[in-house]
Amino acid sequence: MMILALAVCFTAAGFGMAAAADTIKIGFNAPLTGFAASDGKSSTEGTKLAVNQINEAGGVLGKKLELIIYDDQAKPAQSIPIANKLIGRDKVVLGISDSYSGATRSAAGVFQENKMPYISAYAIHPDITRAGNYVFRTSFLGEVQGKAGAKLLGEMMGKKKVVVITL
Amino acid sequence: MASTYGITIINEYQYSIKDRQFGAIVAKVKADNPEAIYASGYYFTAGPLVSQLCAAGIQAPVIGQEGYDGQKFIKIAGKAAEGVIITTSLDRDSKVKEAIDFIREFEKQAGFKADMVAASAHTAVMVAARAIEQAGSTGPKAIRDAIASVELKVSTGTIKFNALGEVMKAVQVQVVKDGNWHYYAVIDDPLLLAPPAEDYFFLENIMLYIELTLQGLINGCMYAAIAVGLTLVYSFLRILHIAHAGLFALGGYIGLLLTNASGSLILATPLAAASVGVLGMAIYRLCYQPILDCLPYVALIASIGLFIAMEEMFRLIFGPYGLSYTQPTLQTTYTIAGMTIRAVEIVIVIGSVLMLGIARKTRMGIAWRATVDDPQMAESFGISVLNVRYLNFFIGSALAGVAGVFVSLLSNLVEPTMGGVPSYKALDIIVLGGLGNVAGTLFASLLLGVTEAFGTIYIGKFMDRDAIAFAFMIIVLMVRPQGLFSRK
Repeated sequence: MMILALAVCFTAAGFGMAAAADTIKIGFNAPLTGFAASDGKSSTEGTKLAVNQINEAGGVLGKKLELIIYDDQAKPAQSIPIANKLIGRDKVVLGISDSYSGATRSAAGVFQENKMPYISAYAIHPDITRAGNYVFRTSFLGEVQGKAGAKLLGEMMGKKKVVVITL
Repeated sequence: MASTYGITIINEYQYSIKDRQFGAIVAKVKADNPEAIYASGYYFTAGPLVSQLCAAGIQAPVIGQEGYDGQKFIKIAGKAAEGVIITTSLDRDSKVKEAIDFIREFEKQAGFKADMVAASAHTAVMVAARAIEQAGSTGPKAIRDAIASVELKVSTGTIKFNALGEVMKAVQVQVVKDGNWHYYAVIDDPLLLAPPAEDYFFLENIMLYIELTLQGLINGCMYAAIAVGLTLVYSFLRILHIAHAGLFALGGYIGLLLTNASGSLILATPLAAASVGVLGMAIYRLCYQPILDCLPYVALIASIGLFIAMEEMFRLIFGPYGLSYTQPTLQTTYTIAGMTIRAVEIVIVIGSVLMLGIARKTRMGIAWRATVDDPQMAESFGISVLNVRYLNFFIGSALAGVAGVFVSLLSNLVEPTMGGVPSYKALDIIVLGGLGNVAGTLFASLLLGVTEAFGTIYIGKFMDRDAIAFAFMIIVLMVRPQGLFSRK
């Protein structure tokens, strides 16, 4: 299967295509197309906002951040070659997953293997951080949310007879 | 965890990410009459679920997870979204400067309302930037260490990580009010919310291994039911019968449609098996018999063509989106020694063992195997090779048909493409089993099932489940080119 990953490179406004040494590259995989495209849109906007804010405030280590985003369609089969490309060709200093668990979990293995830091923004699968010590997660595990849900239901709402429907 | 707060879970249901119709679950939940419904999922599954629950007149509040978070959910569920409560990461009514700024700036830039996904993506970049700054360099090791020790206030709370790289922060509880997400509560209980910090250890997870083995054997039984028919055809006629996978899918369709129409799976399964079996014989008579004298690849090409034609026919007749059971069938779960197993899984194992056992034991089975082993000798004992060939196609196809019904039960979904994966995986299995060797095929099926189950968990990060099957085959063929079991 050929990889149809669509490469979208954003550079900070007014900065243009700066020479590689002048920017710090951060790589992203996000579902820009496919069933999760709506979440991909949200996460990309959130990412761009953060990068713009950081660059307007002077960047990092005196350099601007440069985003490299690839479309993984929330599919593991796409995220693995994307991870390899981000590390090998684009020479990012760090990867961020703006994608779902399947795609994130696969890419996490590649980042760990290459000893490159990788942050999962909102994927919930427990195995993601178990890929190794280079992988982090800024959102909650499904398990943690479940515990919070139990407290919410039983203690805060006083609901005792519950039906559970899980994906 | 539930029992800590005095919660009784009356019933538990599972659905797949492809599900949009929850009629059966909704009906059952109504009968359960719970005080509350806890449902995980994403906006595109939770939206339909919540609106269908509401449509059925169920008043109990729905508690969800952050997958619901966003305006999309409210749009899909409509009025039914009102009062839905979720655990998530972004508080829309936050008094924290970072969150207020983010929500305002995001809407200004993107033109739509901020949600959990946007805030989490924003958070991840902020953490990354802070870590690079603190590391003072762009060396990966330095950045990693800086992330590990980061403590940063952002839109989703104060971010810091534990030893496993899991975030430790407060959980935001949000409720839908007047078409928007709003503050309901915040849960900040570090002890309760502590994510697991240790990696898996062998002894603690012995149950996991047993469960994985069990799941592998269940899959292996299914593979066996599909592959045995294929291996029989190959040993008789030296034809790689790809269209076998089409018969498997057809079994799924017939079983599902008959079950939905009659309400009885017990009636539908043998009918599916019989009709698929008869079609298998027809395929032999009409497609393979006329070209038996041609070179082997002629039959192979015919078989591939037939398989593609069948897939397209399913698409035309039954539609591209797949069908599901209208009533949950064999979906009861049992907890045995801490492991959960579904009724359908028990039926698959028992059914496969029975079918394969009968195929081996009966007089027909003996004749059938005799002709596989040595057609000429069998004929000299008065066994008609032609009849046995028909029988062989009938039994092989019927087995595939039943396997199709099993798989449709497992996933509650029959799609035109459901034969796709079995079509090549069954080939993989019969090669592993030593082409034409029935016992070898059975063993290879079970072995592959278990290998995949473990592989999905432990090497699934690098390799797709289906790739594992082929990597396994390549390794075996490198060591034993004749397959795991070969006559010679």
